[in-house]
Amino acid sequence: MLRDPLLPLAARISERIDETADTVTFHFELLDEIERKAFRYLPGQFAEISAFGEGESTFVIAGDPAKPERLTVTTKRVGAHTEALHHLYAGAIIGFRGPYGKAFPVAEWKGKNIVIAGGGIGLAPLRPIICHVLNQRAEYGKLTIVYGARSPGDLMYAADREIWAKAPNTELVVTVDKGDANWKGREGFVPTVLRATAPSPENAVAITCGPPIMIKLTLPVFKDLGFAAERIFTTLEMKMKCGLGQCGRCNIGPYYVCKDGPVFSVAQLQQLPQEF
Amino acid sequence: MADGMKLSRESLQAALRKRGAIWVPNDAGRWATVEALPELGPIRPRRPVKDLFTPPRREIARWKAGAGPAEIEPAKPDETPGSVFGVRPCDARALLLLDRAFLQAPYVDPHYKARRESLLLVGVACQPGPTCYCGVFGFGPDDKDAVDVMLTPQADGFVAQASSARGKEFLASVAGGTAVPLAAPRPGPRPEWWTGLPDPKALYANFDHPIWRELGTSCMNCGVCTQYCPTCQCFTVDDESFKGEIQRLRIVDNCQRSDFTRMAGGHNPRQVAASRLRQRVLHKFSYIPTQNPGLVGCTGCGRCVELCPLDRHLFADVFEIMKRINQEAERVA
Ligand SMILES: Cc1cc2nc3c(=O)[nH]c(=O)nc-3n(C[C@H](O)[C@H](O)[C@H](O)COP(=O)(O)OP(=O)(O)OC[C@H]3O[C@@H](n4cnc5c(N)ncnc54)[C@H](O)[C@@H]3O)c2cc1C
Ligand code: SF4
Ligand code: SF4
Ligand code: FES
Repeated sequence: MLRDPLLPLAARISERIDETADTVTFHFELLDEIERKAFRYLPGQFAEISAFGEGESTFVIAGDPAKPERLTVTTKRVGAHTEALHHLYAGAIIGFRGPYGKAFPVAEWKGKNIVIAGGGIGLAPLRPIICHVLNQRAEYGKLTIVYGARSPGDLMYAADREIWAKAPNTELVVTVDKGDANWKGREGFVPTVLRATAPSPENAVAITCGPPIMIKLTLPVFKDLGFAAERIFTTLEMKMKCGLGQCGRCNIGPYYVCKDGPVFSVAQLQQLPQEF
Repeated sequence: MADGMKLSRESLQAALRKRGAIWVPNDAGRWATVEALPELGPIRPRRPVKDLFTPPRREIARWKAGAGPAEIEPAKPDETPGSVFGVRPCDARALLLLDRAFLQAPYVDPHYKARRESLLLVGVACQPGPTCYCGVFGFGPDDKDAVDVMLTPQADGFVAQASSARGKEFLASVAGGTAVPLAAPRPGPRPEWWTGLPDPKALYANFDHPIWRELGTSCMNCGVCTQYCPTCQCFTVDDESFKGEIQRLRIVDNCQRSDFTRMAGGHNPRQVAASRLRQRVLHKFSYIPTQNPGLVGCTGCGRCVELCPLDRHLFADVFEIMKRINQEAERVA
């Protein structure tokens, strides 16, 4: 029988990592063995997650797409439902449906240098790209990652960053807006640090995710560095409910962000009404 | 001229009862099942027929509080065979738009699909009322394109015409029909000042036109226009607990509500009333036609015109918008 696409699958949290004061990463797996074994997703795709009885919300699948049995979301506490999620620990059951949306065109990026600029929780949608590139290291050129957060305590993915810092042909630049007494690293906003890092636009694509103000200031830097609008990618955030192109919520211009996005090139965004 | 089939009310009713449940608009203008065919009003009832297919509130699943969602119980699609008597052309055509939203692979709504498959649509021709505008969309009160069987009421029964394979099959099951000639279909009503549908591209190109703001100030965003619209598809998903059970519900929503697009943290791309009015007009008259050439997101039922507490007139608004846009284009040329 036809399955209701709004019906969630049950999943069990296998690991909880408190990244920052308000951000938690959950690793989890689908309970149903057939579903678990068949599940695949691509970098940039998202899912609808629920703390059962408390609602449902949209998160990018932040795992390693080569290991689709171990799913991951990184969630920031901003309202009622994310608050409920943050009361859950390993062993708890959550609802999952997905994957939804268009992915980053990673296959088209083969042979190219990859430049990533992420801010705050905006690193979550970028993590699967980084995993993918490092999994297939020989297939891609140089990987540059500029990652920033407000303070040292707001930096996520500590274990990953250790791996990325040592990965071949990879440059990881971490910055915070304002350091503390123990901070020995870089200070400064992502756009400024990106400009100083000055990655070459030659045979390269750029991807940026983060708070709207960061994206707004980062795009001109990529432009100044010589990246064409067709080669800069980001994800568009619109309120979502269904993820299926049905509930009408994420409609902008002739698109549904959940179906036709959330990944867009800057060239595509320039064609849209400035309504986001 | 094609033949119609003259049927008595009794034989039609008997055949419909044999098929299963008979849904009709009741005295309150809602869809309900009956034993005997009622007398219908002249036009579409208060509630659009979409209520039977994408109901204002439906369960997705339920589970016992604390039991854990491994024991989640999905709601069963209703496959009870039956028919809907008294569907009007504007409401039937709206279903074609909803089909596009809910029957499109890979995300097919099984509840919607079950109802579409199990319910025969029996249309009845209308006596157009003061806010009927189907003519704007090129069809009229006798239009049979989106129903299975179209009926024209007569003093002593109906003249019936099948417009689908299952409609034909159904008519064959009605006893005692006689062939009669069909009258020519009547054109649909439209405002006398109406000059034609807007160009979807021209509307979109004027996204930033000041007219939206001017019109938007006379809308209070109550959302009545969308709540009664036969084509509006928006919904939200919510959990509710009730007597130890939790239900996940799919509940109709409307884009005129101020927090429809409000995101956590407060950012709202459609903060002001004007931006929401623009969204409604553009979605119906620009985005849907752009995505689906040949379709428009409105079928002219006129409910929004009739029910708006502030007297906004969708067609007058669209006409005014296009007039302004065209005047300015001429001035530039
Ligand atoms: C494609 C996409 C990917 C996302 N990925 C992540 C991620 O990886 N990590 C993360 O922390 N957040 C992510 N978000 C934002 C996240 O969905 C919201 O922060 C979350 O829904 C807020 O829920 P709430 O109930 O706590 O907040 P409330 O303000 O109480 O929200 C109520 C409801 O509104 C909806 N809603 C509110 N804000 C948003 C929003 N910004 N986007 C979509 N729906 C919203 C949800 O359905 C939510 O349940 C993503 C959003 C989108 C659109
Ligand atoms: S708009 Fe046309 S089809 Fe709809 S009720 Fe009025 S006359 Fe009938
Ligand atoms: S927009 Fe108004 S006239 Fe058009 S279908 Fe909806 S309610 Fe009817
Ligand atoms: S989230 Fe429902 S249409 Fe996009």
